[in-house]
Amino acid sequence: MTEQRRIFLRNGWDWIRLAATAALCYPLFRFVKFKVPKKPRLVKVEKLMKVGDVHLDQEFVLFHDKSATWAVSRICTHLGCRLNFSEKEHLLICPCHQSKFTTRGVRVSGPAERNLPLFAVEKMSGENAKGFIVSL
Amino acid sequence: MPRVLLSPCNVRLTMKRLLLESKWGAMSLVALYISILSGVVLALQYDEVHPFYSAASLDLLIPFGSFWRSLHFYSSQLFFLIAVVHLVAILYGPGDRLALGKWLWLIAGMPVALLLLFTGYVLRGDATGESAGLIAENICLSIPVIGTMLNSLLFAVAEEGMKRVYANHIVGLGVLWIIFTWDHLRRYRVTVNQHGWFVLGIIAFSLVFSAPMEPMQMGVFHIAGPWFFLGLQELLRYMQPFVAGVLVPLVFMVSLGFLQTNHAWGRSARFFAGAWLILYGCITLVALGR
Repeated sequence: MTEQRRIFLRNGWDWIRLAATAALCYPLFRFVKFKVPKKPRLVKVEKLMKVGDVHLDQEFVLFHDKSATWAVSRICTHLGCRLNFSEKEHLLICPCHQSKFTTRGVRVSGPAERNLPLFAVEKMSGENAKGFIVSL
Repeated sequence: MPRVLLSPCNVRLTMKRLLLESKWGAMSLVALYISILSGVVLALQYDEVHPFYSAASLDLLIPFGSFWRSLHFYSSQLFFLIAVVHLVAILYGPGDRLALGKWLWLIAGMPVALLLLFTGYVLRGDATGESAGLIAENICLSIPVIGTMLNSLLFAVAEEGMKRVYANHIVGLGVLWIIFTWDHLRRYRVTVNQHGWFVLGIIAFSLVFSAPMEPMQMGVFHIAGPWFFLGLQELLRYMQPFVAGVLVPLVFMVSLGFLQTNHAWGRSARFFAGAWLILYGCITLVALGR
């Protein structure tokens, strides 16, 4: 009886140690898995844009019309290729698999499933300032 | 007499003799020697921080840069293509078969060689290279559980640029390839002197033909990837990245593992691998037609 109790206690202790190790793994996994959000990066587009102008940067496309100026990501939501702007179709087109998006980033066709993200745009202020600041 | 020489039977026999009696393995190795040598020369000028600028400088500014880049490009392509012919010749021929474990170890060198070729394309940093890198990264990320880790190990183009791709191209994948193939390679001694004409041929070809380069252009709405990636690029139109980019190549690689066995499933594996290649070739043709 005493022997059985000893075995039970020893096994119980092993289980507790295992559970404690597993419990310690949880904060470790949560810690490692967490991705620190990127610090917003400001990109200056120092040029005067006329109504209807389009500016292609490495990471975004800046559009300027009568009522607004907006920036849309240039990275295709399918597999990350860099989009190009078709003036003829007035659409953003992925050269890899021909996914198409409107200038507002809304998916029109192709294998991409998600819309393109939009970035905040501010007009540069100051006396000699001209152009826009895009927050990525 | 010429009619006899050109009969289908003779052509078949000549082809068979050419396949079985040529020293494909040795030629592939010589091409690899040239590829490594020209790669070392290129590395003295290549800068992975500005990949496209660097590759374009090689072509346009640096004396003989275009030649060294062409030599590296074409010798690497030849190394891989001739290695494939060598593999076919070995499977077709009457030679001894390796034990399954040893064969699996050796054949693992094949996808590593392909990755070496692929990372070379990516390092150009031009329209094809950059897009291929980003696609490969997203395919990696689509793998459940280990995808992020695998991507950090192989590509991480979006976060790190070409840093890791370059490290893998010049060191990591090369070392891995040698680990897989060393037991096979150490038995053969191949010297460049034995293949003088072959070496001269590659050098002459590289002097005449420049390696491809596709600069980023505003109005380009279609980019074709590396030739061996075209079928996969086409499949990615219709299937999820994990299916087209991981499962489809994986089943082919698994079939490669059993090509050499004499069991019934060895024959099935050979049939499957052949059918897979034919289908992949057809899909590549569709991609080329775009």
